[in-house]
Amino acid sequence: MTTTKPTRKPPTHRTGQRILAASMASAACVGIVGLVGVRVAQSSTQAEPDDDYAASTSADGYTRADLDAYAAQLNDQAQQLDKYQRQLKKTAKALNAEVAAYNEALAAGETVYVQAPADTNWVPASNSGGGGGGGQSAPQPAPQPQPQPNSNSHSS
Amino acid sequence: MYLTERHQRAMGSDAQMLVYAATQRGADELAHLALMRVQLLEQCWSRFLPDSELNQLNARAGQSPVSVSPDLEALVATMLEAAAWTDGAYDPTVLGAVRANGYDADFAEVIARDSLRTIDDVLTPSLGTAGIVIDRSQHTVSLPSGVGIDPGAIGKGLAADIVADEIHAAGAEGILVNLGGDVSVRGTAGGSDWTVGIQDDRVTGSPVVWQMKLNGDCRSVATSSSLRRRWNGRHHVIDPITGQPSQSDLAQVTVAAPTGWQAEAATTYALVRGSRAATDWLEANSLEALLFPHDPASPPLRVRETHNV
Repeated sequence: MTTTKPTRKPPTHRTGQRILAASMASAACVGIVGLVGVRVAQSSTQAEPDDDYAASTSADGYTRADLDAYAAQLNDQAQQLDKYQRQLKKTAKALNAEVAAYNEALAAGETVYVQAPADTNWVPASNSGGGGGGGQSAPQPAPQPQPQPNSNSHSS
Repeated sequence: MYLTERHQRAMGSDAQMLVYAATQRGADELAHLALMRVQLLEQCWSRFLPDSELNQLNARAGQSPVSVSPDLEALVATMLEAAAWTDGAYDPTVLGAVRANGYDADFAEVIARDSLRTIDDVLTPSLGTAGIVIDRSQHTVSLPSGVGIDPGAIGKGLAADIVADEIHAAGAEGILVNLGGDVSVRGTAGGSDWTVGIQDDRVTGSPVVWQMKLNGDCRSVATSSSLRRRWNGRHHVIDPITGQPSQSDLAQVTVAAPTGWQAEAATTYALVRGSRAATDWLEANSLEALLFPHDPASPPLRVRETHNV
């Protein structure tokens, strides 16, 4: 069995002690407020460099936005070039496959059909009117009909 | 063999593509891609498009090295090579002089406004290429302060080379790229040599007076004339020494060369330095050429035996 003693009532503070406590509490509050203020101030000063960074100029006088825009432009150019190169590869592959199919058909002794080129009425361009002067392509040889593989021709 | 021809306005002139391929579809697609490539090069190299990469490089002259795309790096490297090869007769730093002479916008705009504009005949010698630095490992270019570069016709010549190389490598049996008179060919014209007609701008109607066959190592031809692109009594071929339009005895020059940019650099050499110096220089470089004096009654002077027909 345990026995407990009644909790001893804390001594009441005298007025001077209360003032001191209040002062200390106030000081603590001020301190906290001050601390918070400092933190806020610090965080705001920490935030400022971002803004400054965005608006800051390089040694050459360019803002970060300028440099970003230039980088984006280079990136855009590179993407367009990449798109062109992919299309070029695709076309080259298709062309190569068609020629290979034609050659295989010939080698296998299969019957191949002749398809007349669609563009047999080609005429040379008129004067280009460019800035360089007097160079222009002269009439080139007209394309000649050529045997085509079965898969890519119309029988006649 | 199938042939496709396509035209499009590009680089301030008419861009013409002739493509021979084993199939019609292949020829069509390759011709389309050839024009697309010209457009991409123009976006990068044009000095008339405000936000072209070239203009951005010029705007950063005198500052730290600028990162450049492979296409712009190739252009700047070629410009420096051309300047060295021609002993400075071709000089990409004439941009300031070109602008001072009033050619600071697309030619159509220059023509439209300059009839009312007075231009001072101030000597504005170019600054030269000595201070231009290319870092091939970092892919950067540095321009000295006050220096702007203008590809001039070298841009079209090099563009014709690049497009012809790429389309031929993709499977075209033959391709002809004509950018306003800068012609580069690869492969054959349906099994035959390519033929290019040369017009005489000194005569009304610019009749074709000569034909050149392009084959083997001679795959490009360029014609430059001080008779075209004229405004306010001036023309676009600038003498780097004076910064003024050249005053040589030649009105028009045609050169056939292994590459388009070489053909263009050579025509600039001849128009700037004149017939006597040009004849020696062209022969020393084994280049075929036609030199047209100002007098239309004088026949063109042929340099070296050519494969003319």
